[in-house]
Amino acid sequence: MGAECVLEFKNITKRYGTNTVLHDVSLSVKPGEIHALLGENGAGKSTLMNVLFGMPVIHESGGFSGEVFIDGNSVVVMSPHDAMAKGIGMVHQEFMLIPGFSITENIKLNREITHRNPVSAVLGDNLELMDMPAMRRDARKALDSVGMKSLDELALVKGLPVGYMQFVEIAREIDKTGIKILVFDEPTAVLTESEAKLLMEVMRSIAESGIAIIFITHRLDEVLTVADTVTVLRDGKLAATRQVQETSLIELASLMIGRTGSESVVDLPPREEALTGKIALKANDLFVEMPGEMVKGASFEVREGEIFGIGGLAGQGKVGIPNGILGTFPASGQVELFGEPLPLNDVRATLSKGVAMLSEDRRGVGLLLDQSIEDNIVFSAMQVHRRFLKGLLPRVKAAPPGKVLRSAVWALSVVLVLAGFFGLTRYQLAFNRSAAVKAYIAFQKQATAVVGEADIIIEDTASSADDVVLPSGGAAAALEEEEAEPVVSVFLSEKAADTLTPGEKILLFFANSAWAFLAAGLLLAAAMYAYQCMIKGSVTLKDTSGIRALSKQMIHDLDIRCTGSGQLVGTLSGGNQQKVCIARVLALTPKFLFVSEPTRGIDIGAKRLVLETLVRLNREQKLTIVMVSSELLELRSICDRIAIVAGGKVAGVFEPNANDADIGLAMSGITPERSGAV
Amino acid sequence: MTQDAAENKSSIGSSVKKALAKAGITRLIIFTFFIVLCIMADAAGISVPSMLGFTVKRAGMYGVMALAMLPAIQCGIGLNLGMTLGVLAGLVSTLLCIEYGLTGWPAFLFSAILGSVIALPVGYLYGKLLNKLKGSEMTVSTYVGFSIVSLLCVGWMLFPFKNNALTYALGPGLRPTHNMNTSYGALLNNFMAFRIGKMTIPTGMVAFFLLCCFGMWLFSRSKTGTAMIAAGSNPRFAEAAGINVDQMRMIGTILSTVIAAVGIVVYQQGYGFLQLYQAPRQMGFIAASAILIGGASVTKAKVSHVIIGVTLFQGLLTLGIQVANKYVPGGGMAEAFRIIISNGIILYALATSGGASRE
Repeated sequence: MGAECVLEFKNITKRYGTNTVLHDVSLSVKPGEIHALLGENGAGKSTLMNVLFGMPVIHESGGFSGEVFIDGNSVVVMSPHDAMAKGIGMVHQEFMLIPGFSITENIKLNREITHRNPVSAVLGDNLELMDMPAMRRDARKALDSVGMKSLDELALVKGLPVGYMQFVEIAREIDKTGIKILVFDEPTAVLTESEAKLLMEVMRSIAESGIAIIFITHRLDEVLTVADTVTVLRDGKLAATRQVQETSLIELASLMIGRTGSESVVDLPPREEALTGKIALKANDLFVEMPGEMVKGASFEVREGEIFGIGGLAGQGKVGIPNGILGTFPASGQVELFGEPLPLNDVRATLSKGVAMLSEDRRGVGLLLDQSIEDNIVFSAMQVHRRFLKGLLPRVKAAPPGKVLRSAVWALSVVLVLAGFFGLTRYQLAFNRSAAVKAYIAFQKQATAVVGEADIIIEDTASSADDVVLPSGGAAAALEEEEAEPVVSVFLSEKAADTLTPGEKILLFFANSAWAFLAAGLLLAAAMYAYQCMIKGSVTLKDTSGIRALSKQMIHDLDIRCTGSGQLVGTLSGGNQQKVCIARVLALTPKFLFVSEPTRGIDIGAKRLVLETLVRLNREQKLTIVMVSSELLELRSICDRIAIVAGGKVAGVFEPNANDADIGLAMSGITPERSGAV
Repeated sequence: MTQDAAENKSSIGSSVKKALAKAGITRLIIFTFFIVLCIMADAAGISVPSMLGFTVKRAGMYGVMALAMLPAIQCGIGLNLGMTLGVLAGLVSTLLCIEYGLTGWPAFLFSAILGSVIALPVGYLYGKLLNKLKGSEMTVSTYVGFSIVSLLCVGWMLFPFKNNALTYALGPGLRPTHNMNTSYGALLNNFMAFRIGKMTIPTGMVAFFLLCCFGMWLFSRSKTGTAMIAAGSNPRFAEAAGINVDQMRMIGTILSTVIAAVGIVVYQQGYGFLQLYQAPRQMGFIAASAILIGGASVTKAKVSHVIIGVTLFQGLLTLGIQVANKYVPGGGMAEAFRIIISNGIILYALATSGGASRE
């Protein structure tokens, strides 16, 4: 081929450890060609691009074998910066734009056109001033060339519609001088239909100017619309390279899915009895606001006792379905479980109705990493069903006190406490008003006048006031001399009992028994509360022996490799962590189980065990299971039916042995019209 | 089975390493520093046993307040530097106790219970605030603490206290320092206290502190307690298990505030004085550094961290000041050393544990 190809990969193989992610992949791109790169998640598209851009992850993990040619010269791209210098640009899936900067500034970021000035002459180039008019001109030109003629180049990126940001991103890449290859990483994922159409036109016009485009996508129809050549990757291998005119939607779909061997991941034991066909779960028009996995009106039915698979590409909403039904993300729509409506957005209610979920985010949602295996296993069951708890107080078998009795006791205790406070305050207020204290204060005021030094006075006052606290003969004497009206309990008590007025007697009673009142009120309230707790059994502690017994059982049944049930979950391997998650779900004794990406990130052996456990639960306990997975092979091997989700909707429901092409089409959002759909 | 055995064997091999990691490098360094201080004190002719007696006394004094950090960390709001709110509730209840002229056990119980009762609504409002400002709790709680102390500086001048034991003789306002001897000073300290040589053990106070710790330990094993800890350590996990995370944070915040109120009451009976105005400002920091030194992080804490931490922290402070004074003569240095040592420990504890916990 030689120099006529601007970019050529030759026999690229990349391994991460023992895992081969790219196997002998070759492809070539001519100038001005739009080359589509098609494949499922994990097919190796991103890895190939990482090789092209010299991402650190490639070099840190031992590099790759094979050769990359640019303009016919063998090159090794060492870093993304290096890639830029060699004329390779990338339009990212997630926007790499600074919201607070204007479009011009974003486009020219780190490639600013600058003026020299006296300061920069002395202190270096970094202090040169920006040449805004020149930058604006460049930005304008770049924006015009991507069809954004009406967009103001000085507008801030913040607040732009998402689609526009995508075009700004493209404008930035185009503005780079010497760009030869431009990679579009799923550019249409966030665009509306009309924006996507515009993007296609822009891609065409860019290609016409001689720049080669690599177009990464899931959407088959877009490939057919815009690309010249298409390369399909599957499981890290080159499935095929086709000229677009010579291929069809169906062919591409089956190339993308392609059955890798007929062997099943697990042995599937037959059911003892056939499915009844009753509906276990019915979702109608389900919407879920899960960032990155939005569900937009999915409807499906799950039959009792079956394993129902949900497949589809990443970001299409398949993960949003279980999360929305469980209630961890805001959802709307109608969901019925065993004929009863299921409340949405209420996790506790959903769980207590017997729905359980094995989360796709094992470390983030599925586990308490810094707690022990046993605590993790029983947590949900303890919280939802109050199991594995034992009462701290002895349980009393009695009917709870009636409402009247209850409120009477509470009211009495409040009255008692208030009476106590009343007594205390009477005591105090009266005390302060007493003539004895007044006399002291008057005396101190005189002393102030004499001495005139505040500090000393304060000290004196304190000590004299302290003296007053203890009712002394002196105070009483002072009282008698002044012949002031005695209102204070201490002073009252000094008077002969027969000289007290009835009002004074009551006051004295409250003042003297203030403490008894307070204590009685508080004790009564405490006793009442304790009694209620004893009846309800609500003061509980973890039942350690019960927890340990269950954990031991689970560790044995699921073959969790650990040093003991007290080992921290964070120190287990991924597969064993997943088994702990399963144990936690089983401890809930669910009637309906959602399983989301159960085999993500665990090794083959553990994968098999996890799937076998699911099948066993389904066969032995007649548990209805909905399994969400990105791995079609996995779904095919254990599911009774598979729904494919695309664009937040169910694009089709298939038998596990359905045609590759049909499933592939459904994945790119095209509902198949041929047979095969159930 | 054989694989299991092999795994067990390898784990025994690395058990020394694990034990070291379990003890925590920070704790080991501080503990070593503590031992060095003991040796230096002995060399300087300071009676180490009596210093250890002081350490126990001070640990008991600050212990309950350090315990107030525990539910805050467990429920996920992190170091509750705004526990000053609870401290102030305890101050108000103690002032009322003096105002009413209560003495002895009634005085202590009155202050502790009323303090808790005041702390309940205060903690509730504080919890509401923290739930609205998730993610920046440390900053918020620090400034809540500072501003409420300043606000109450005005309050101390305005509250209508009438007892002359409390107020300035001239004009309105409460005096900054009050002797607790007339109410409940040294009440717990002297309860069943005994001496071993030069060491005095304040049995009542230590027992009260350990009782509070036991209560918290029990709580952490209850249904609500486990839910609260889960909500703190992994909110998304808790939500997926149907737990109301905000409610759990609320429970933790209220609990922390209430314990702080009881804590200041215990502190005052041990210290023998009640201090108003700017004095409560640093209480939160002292409690926070104690629990951090004990091995807690900003996201995870246990009762043992409180006990170990408060003992180490107060031990360092007691010994450190004495030793520094011996080796560097000059009267004015004592206060400077106190500040340098206590703030130094706080900084060290925050720097080492705060960094490790934020993965």
